[in-house]
Amino acid sequence: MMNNRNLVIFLRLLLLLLLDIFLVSRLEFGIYFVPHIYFFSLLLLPVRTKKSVLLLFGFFSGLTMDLFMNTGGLHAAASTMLAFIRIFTLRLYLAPEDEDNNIAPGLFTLGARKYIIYSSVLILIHQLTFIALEVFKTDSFLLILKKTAASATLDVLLLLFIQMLFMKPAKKKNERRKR
Amino acid sequence: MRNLSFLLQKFGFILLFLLLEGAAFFLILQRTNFQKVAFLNSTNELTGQVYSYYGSFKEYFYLQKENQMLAEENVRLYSLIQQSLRNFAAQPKGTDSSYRQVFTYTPCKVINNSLSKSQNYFTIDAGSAQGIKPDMGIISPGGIAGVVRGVSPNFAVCMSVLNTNFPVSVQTRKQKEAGTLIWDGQSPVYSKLIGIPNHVNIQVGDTIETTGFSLFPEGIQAGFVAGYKIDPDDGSYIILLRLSTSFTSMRQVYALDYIYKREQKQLEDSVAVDIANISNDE
Repeated sequence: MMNNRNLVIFLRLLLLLLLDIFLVSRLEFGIYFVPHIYFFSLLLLPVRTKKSVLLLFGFFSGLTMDLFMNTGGLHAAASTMLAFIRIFTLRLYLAPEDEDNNIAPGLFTLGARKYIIYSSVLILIHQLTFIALEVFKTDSFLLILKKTAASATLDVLLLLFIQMLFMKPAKKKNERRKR
Repeated sequence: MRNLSFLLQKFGFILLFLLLEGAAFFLILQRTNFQKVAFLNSTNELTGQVYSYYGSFKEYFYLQKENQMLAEENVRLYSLIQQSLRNFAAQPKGTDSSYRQVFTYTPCKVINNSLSKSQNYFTIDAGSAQGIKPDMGIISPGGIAGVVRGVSPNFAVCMSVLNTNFPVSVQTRKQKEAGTLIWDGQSPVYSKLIGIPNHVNIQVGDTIETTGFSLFPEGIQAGFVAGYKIDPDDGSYIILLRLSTSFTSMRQVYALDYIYKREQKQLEDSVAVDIANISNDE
């Protein structure tokens, strides 16, 4: 059962990376909107994932992205930061039984309100790290904020859209979620 | 000892986090130095292959536009031939050493391109096997496009004009007044031109072209003046430039090789060494 679940996680990462590289990062919404979806796979890792695994997962998914986007280590830095912050933020939104059931934090497992706050915070952190490091040289503080706000908003919408498309509402809370 | 292992178990992930962020920052800092990390970008043969599949798939959707652009370029080239025929007729017969070829052109295709970052790069489908070398200039049918930074056997990564670090000097076509092209990271259609003194008569619509001082031959279009204002600090123009290359649809490009670059560079370096020695002696 665990193997099956790991396979699903791996395939989901692969699918999101491919979609991001060949579709999402090529959409031109203007200079302020730079959405990315590959790190959604990090948000969806099960609750009891080991901290070290979480960090390495973030680093290498970011690094793969960097290989294709010529961004050096920008995505790796941002994703590792997301994984690190996730360790502390996720705890705030979990009920005791969630941890026992090792749920994957999703729209229907956490509940809409908690999930939107949880994902917004992490998406904002990822985009802020990425954009701040990327724009770094031109010392334009306002541009960083505008870009982050615009991109993060678009990302939250994309995440919710993807969740609605692919995840079925669980009948019972402890039912294992399918893709 | 047990305490130590307990600490590591509890807070080891912070160490791991710092380690991974350190690695990421190292890669970011190395990014400007493309030669050293050629294995970590899309000059990499694997990612290059993936992108060339993707590029050949996407090509079908742009055939019509591509044809139109090439046709326009043909028109431009034909007009050049007629001019040069007239010029050569006036020349004395025999080989004239003042008309040696200085630049050679290698046609190549853009297979990956970015527009929305501050430091934009694009990948072309030709590399060292096709004679592409670092620091070669890239032009599109519209005008200047970029400069080669990293090269692998079959691919090359080029710094786009849409890069806040792009080095090129340009001039007005009419008065030959030189200035510096600086992209501010805002729009893929416009760039900025600074450093032209305000006694020069600039008009909206004037053509801006390359000077012969950098990687490009003189007279290649960079863009057109779309607006201007005077910098209150030093009285020079700040010109808004509409770039003549359409970066959003750039496909067919040419890599320029300046044949005498090595000779010129050697000479300049040797003189620079002399000057350094003289100033050290004093």
